[in-house]
Amino acid sequence: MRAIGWLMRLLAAAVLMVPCPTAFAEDEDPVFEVHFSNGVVSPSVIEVPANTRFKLELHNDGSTPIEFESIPLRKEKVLAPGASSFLVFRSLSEGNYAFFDDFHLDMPPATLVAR
Amino acid sequence: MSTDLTLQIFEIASVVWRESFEALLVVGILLAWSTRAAPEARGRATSWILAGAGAGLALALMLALIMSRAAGVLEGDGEDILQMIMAALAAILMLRMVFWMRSMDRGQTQDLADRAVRHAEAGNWPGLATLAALAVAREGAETVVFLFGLMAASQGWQAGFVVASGLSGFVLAAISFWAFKAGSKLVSRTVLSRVSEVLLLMLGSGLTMIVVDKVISLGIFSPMTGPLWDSSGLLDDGSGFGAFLAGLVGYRARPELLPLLSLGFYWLIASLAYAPPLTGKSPA
Repeated sequence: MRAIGWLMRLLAAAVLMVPCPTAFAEDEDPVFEVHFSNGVVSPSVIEVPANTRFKLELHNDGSTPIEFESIPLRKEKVLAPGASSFLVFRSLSEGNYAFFDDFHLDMPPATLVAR
Repeated sequence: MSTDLTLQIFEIASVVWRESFEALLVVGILLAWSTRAAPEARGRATSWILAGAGAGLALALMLALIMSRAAGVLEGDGEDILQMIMAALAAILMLRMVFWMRSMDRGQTQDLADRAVRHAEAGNWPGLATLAALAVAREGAETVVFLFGLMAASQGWQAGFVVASGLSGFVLAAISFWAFKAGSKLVSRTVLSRVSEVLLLMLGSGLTMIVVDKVISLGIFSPMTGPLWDSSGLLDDGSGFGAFLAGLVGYRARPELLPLLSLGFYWLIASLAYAPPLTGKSPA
């Protein structure tokens, strides 16, 4: 049980540290947009800079809810029809990252290409 | 048209089932185990767990409302931070629960310590309720946005159709839930305890991975290395069974060092629950 107490303290410390990096969230980050419409993702290939902070704006233009999901990108986000939101990415290494709409699994995934 | 409709019903139901599966599994394990392990406290345990699940549902509705209205708070890092805290708390409670289950099992064989242990550990009921609440809130918010989003976008009979499809998804989930409960009555208490512990530990492992993902995503720690290997050819974590494992137990096809170390640390702590007690007396 003591080990768990320590783990809890460690996590509490981690949580307290969170505001520091986020406090520097400025609007100067480059912004990229992706639109979802009933399972169709456009553009289906998005080029983003590698190892740089950027914002990815998500827009749901369709009549059904969507869920942006990607395990390699470590992100998931649910959007109601007509809703918009954004994700913040910090330093992606170069490579291709697949993401998909978890509420429209029959549609092909899209790709984020970091260069 | 009618095949299209069937497809939609199936899709809606499957999303609802997928999203509510984990929450119902947790609530099912807690209910089944606590009624068997502590029959004398059965009513109390059940009401704590159900109250927790109810609170979780209320929290899910609230989160869904925030997500769809004043999205500002949960945009960008906000949602990541919230998910990280909820997952971390749930993972810790899962571990604590397994330690508690183990100590109850040990108490069973040591009649003397039995009562004392039960009394001392009675304070864990709120923990049980919190675990149920977190499980429902985490998965529930997405289900609520999904269903309400569909309903808002449809009119008249279509809205009713969405409700019906959503309900059939819940019924699917409820059937899995009752199958688990019914099955729990067929097996011995020891088997039930073992199965419950292993399931909770696996779910905790998945939660640990979520915490690690958020920690890296928020820039608190770096992943330490690039991906150490790529097993996506063998089992892809983005689709099918791989995706199921990824969500439930934290499988990753291209793991970096930090996620591996964290999982190792998690399972090390988990294994302490199974280490023989160092002294003769029961653990405090």
